[in-house]
Amino acid sequence: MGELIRLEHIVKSFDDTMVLNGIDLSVAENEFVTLLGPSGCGKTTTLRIIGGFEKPDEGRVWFDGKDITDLPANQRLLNTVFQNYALFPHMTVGENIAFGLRVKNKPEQYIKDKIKYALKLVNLDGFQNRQIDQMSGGQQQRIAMARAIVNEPRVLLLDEPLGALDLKLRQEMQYELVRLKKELGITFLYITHDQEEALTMSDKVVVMNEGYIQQQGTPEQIYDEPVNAFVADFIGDSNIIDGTMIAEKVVRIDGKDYPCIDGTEQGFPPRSRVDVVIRPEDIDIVPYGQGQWNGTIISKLFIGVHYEMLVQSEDGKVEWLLQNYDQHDVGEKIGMKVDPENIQIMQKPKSEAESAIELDL
Amino acid sequence: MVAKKRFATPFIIWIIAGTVIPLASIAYYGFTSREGGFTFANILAMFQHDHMQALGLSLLLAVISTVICLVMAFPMAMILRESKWGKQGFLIFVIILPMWMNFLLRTMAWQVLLERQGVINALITAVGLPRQELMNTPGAIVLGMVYDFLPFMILPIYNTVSKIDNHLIEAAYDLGASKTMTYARVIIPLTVPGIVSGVTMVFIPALTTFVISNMLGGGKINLIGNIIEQEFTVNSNWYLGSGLSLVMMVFIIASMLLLQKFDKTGGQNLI
Repeated sequence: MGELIRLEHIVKSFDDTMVLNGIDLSVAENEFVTLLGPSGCGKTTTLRIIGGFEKPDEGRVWFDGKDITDLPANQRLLNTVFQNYALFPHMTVGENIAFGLRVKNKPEQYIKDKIKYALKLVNLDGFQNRQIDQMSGGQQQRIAMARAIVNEPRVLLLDEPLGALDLKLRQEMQYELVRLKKELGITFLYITHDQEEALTMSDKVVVMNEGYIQQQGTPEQIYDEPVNAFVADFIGDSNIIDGTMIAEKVVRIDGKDYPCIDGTEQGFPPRSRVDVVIRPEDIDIVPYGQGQWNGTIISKLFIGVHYEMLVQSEDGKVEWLLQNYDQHDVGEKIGMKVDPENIQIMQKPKSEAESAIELDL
Repeated sequence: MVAKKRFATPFIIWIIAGTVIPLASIAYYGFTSREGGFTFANILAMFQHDHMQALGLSLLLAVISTVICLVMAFPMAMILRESKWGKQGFLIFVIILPMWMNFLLRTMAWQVLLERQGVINALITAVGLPRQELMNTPGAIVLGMVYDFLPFMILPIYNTVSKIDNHLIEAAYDLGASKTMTYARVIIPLTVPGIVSGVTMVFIPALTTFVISNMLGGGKINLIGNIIEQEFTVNSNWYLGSGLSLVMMVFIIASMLLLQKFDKTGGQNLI
């Protein structure tokens, strides 16, 4: 897979507010890349710079080996699916889809065939003469996809395309998007603040916050090996606890020492202060006194498949978040056990920006 | 519901007194001869040569003024849409500022400017050019109409363009449209409702005005409005004045219906 898009140290600010602080990103041909982050993290601005709707203050945008930083949006070989779909309200479904082809003066028969093909692809066969306001949100979303893909772009930019849909439809559309991408064989650059969406669909996830890229990697890497507490917290639920490395591969958490699998080699020499991240599903409930920690269940929620519990540690300093399939009662005293490989050691944030991130959590 | 309807009473009285009764009396006079009998003569009088000539000139000047207003207002509205000043309403304020002055006063100001010894001629002669006959020309009337009615074109158009979602314009560019194509296929069609109300609000008063043509045409140029006014005032022929008014009313209703048609089709036929 060759490189298709490269961002080189993109810096952008609006009215003295830094939005992007030097973004470097590479997107390979035929890759599904997701920019993931909370609102205001700069992901939409990054997409708009690639789409040609914003000019970066610094840095270059490369597309297929060519510098397109100064190329206007209407000359770029990519198309955008906008967050609110941006369908033309004065045109029918068919006219919307035909727009890109008509402005390029394609023959009418070709346009007709393309509309038909695109509608079939998004499961809206025969809807070309409908008015836009007759279509539901999910249908409008599909039309926006169809309108973009008839132009045969090399990259499709998708700005939170499922954001306005309800949960069930959103899950259906996730499968749909992955299928579309396979059928079209083009690159998808996707934006979302929904970690589940990002993990489900992507080949590569890029986690952003405060205008910095925090981590990029496969969904598994991001989930299993978050580089810092922000990523760990943003991707799924986490217990993030202060810890100190006591000896090689031994960490002191909540007053007790535990073996872990990270040491000097991973950048955590003895006596360094660290963040310890433990996923709530990695904590096993054992009888009182038989685990590494003891605590009292202070709240319990049933959320579909499992129970989510808050456990107060005995000295009252730490509240643990647990997910478990078994039911335990509020007030019950339990023991908690975590395998060493599930105790993840992370660097404390260093830069001021990163400290600010932590305060937001 | 019944209780709520009672609150409409003042308006209903107003409509009866201010619209229904006058309209009915105009209709009565329009179909009545001086002798008191029923006649079509007052209506058919529109087809007399001098009346047709006045109507033709009125139409021509109204169309020219409307087109000039439209050509000036649309770019202005787009600039207002983009500009920070527009959003803060300052530019809108500047545009409607002249409307706070009396209409007659504003038109009179143009008399002073356009006169033979007026300000503009003073400037022209100062640079060594011959004195121009500016007053009492159709041009002066068009100028007066454009000056008086331009805000009525800008405001509805601005109102419409300011509501166009910026993403629609970006989507057009994204799909490969040039700036011209984006205007032709997205921005202008979406502005049609504003253009229709702007055109209505300029064309109708321009077609029927007699004040502007009186003041800047010096009574030498007769528009249909002047003819109707003279029938009522100078000639005291309410019958003929009413008949001509009725014809104009039908004329205006017809042109409004025509305009509405553009609005309903979403304006695609305009392009």
